[in-house]
Amino acid sequence: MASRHRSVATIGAVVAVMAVASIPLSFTGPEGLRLAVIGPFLLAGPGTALILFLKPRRIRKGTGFEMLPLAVAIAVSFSLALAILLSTAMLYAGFWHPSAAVSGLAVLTLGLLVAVDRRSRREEPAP
Amino acid sequence: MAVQAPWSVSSTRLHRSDVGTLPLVASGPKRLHPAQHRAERGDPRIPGALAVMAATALILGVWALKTVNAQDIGGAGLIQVLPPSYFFALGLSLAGFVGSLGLKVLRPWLLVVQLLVLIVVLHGADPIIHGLPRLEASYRHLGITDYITQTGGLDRKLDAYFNWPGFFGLLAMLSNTTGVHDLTWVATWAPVGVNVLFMPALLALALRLGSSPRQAWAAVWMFYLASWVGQDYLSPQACALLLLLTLIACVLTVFPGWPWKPAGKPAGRLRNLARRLEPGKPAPIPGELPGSAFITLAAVCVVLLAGMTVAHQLTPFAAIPILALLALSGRCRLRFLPVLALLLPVCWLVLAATPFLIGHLHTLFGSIGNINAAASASLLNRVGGSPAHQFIVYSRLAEGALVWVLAGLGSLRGRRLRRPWLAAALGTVAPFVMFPLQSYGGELLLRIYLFSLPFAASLVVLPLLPRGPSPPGLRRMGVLLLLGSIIATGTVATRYGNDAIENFTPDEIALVNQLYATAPHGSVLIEAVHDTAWRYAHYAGYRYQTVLPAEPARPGDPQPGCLSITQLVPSAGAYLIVTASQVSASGVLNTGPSEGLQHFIDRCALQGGWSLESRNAGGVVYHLQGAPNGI
Repeated sequence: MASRHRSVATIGAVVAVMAVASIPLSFTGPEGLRLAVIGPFLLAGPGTALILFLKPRRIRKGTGFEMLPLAVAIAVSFSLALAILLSTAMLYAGFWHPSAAVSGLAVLTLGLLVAVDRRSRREEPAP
Repeated sequence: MAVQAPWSVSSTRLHRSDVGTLPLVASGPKRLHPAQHRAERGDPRIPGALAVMAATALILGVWALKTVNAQDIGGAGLIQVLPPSYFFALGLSLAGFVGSLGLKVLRPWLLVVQLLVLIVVLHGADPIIHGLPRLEASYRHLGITDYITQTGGLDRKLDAYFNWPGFFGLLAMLSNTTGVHDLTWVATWAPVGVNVLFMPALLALALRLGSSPRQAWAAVWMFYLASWVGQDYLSPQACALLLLLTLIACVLTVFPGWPWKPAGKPAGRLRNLARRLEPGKPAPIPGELPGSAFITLAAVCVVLLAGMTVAHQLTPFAAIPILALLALSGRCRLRFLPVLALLLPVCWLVLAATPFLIGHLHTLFGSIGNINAAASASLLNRVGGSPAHQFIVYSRLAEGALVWVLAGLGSLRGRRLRRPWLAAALGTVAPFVMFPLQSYGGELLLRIYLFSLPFAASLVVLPLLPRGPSPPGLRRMGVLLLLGSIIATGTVATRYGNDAIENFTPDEIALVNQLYATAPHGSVLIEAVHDTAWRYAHYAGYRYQTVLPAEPARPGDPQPGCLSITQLVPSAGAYLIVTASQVSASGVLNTGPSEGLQHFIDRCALQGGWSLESRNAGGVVYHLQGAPNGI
């Protein structure tokens, strides 16, 4: 159980770092670094935060593996769909500000991660 | 002297150079005897050996592809120039997967490795051999992305793409925010990347369609083996298919059940019918989710549907029958989802894609219900070209038919064995609902195959895998390997059958760059055959024209004369580009003049008014003088 909490915390921390880094990097920075951070973030950042937020309370015995592929698929597809919808909205609104959009996605991701963190603190038994 | 070794389960001795071999005494929880451990989990060396097999297949496969000379690829495509070592590597990869599937205890990491190797060896041939994006459409997609990146807007009257801009907006967002303006490398490696991204969604879907994880893994493997359609390039349809697969997997996993209570006769009859066809209840939800999570996941389904709708014109229409049939068979209890799946694309078409709708009313609605027209466009009109090309077309039809027939047999077997089959069978047949609606430029049958394949793959492997967690026996593994080998070999032929047409050389790209450098902005640029790697820049900066379509000529088609070119030239003149790929396409598809494209162009060039602008190994560019009374 503790190792599961640790892995959730690690994944959450990685996504949080990428989300935080995406905000300034979407405006400026070395090309390679921007691609290395923003590319994976757009691909799976918001979706991974959502999956951590949705963490099932209990996985049915013997079927835990069934959730992992779906979780990964949702993490990727939800992130892509969100970015697609956001970019389409900007294009139709005549308000093309991709850096602001990435920052918005980063803020959404961080918001979900903060909610995950608060919930896990609540669930932790008192020492 | 005894040493406690709590970290080890299988070792009974420890060798130390200073004191020699020491016996180990286990402590703590009960340890299995190595022989017992081996009997329960199998020999631990076998997974390692299978991993080595995968690595060997990868290295050998990539090396074999690297030795291919792209210039030798002819009308039958890549298969005619592949060395035997490639097929050995492919066979090794197939045997490695089947071996991994037959282990006493499934190792997901090993199966993932085997599938990754298969993706590279089977679907990564184009980037490895050519090192450039496949298909002229890839270059157009780069051009649309470039247009959005440069202007931050849409030109919705230019072409259909701008009315479904979601995917291009995503790429433009990536390009703008990273500063990487040349996404050619993304387009080059898209076939590998897209297939890797498909894997979790395919697995999640297959886990809900079948009765065991082994069947699910085998279904994913079968999808990759039989996926010859080649829509996995940098395209909106590839992205939309990923969203569709995730959506269906999410619905089947989280929202199984009936969308309404069993009140009323029709609902009761449907339930009885579904129970008769597949007795038993749908598999339970694997995780215990809080109530709010169901609402969030329903919202995720809506986001996926909406994302699909703004990204691609066809995929959302494939989602409608799939979701409707799943709801009608008690496998989707979100009753609003099929309705929303219908409303979203229709509303988008009417409200957001209005310029396209107005300009294409006849194309969209003119052939509804005309099955003959759809069959002609999807089947008859595609059979043509050189004998080698016709062989490839027939091979594609045969492979598609084989997969569907095997899926049908799998359904019958599943019903007889009382195993889950109905959802997969419904998913396989649902896309056929689109067939009488319109031909989609003659590509509809191809797209239907793509949409139904993830479901059909689960049925194809159903008879070859046992229901429970036990591994398949040697005989079944042998049959699976044989079937996989036949389909994989077929896919090498069918997927890469148009390689001479669909791939381009660096010389051709250099020639197009030269054309852009020469032609003033706003000029008319003409391609002899619709097979040019252009429009990756200056998408709206020129008027692009085509003389001959890249499709087999039909009997009775008039022979093109020089007039078919000159009538496209305005009074200000134009530029004509003829590339090596166009000449190949003309030869393979038998399109254009019977004397051959090169002779035809040479003859027209002698007429006067044509001046050679540039030439290299990739082709030639002419400047065509316009007539004073030209268009």
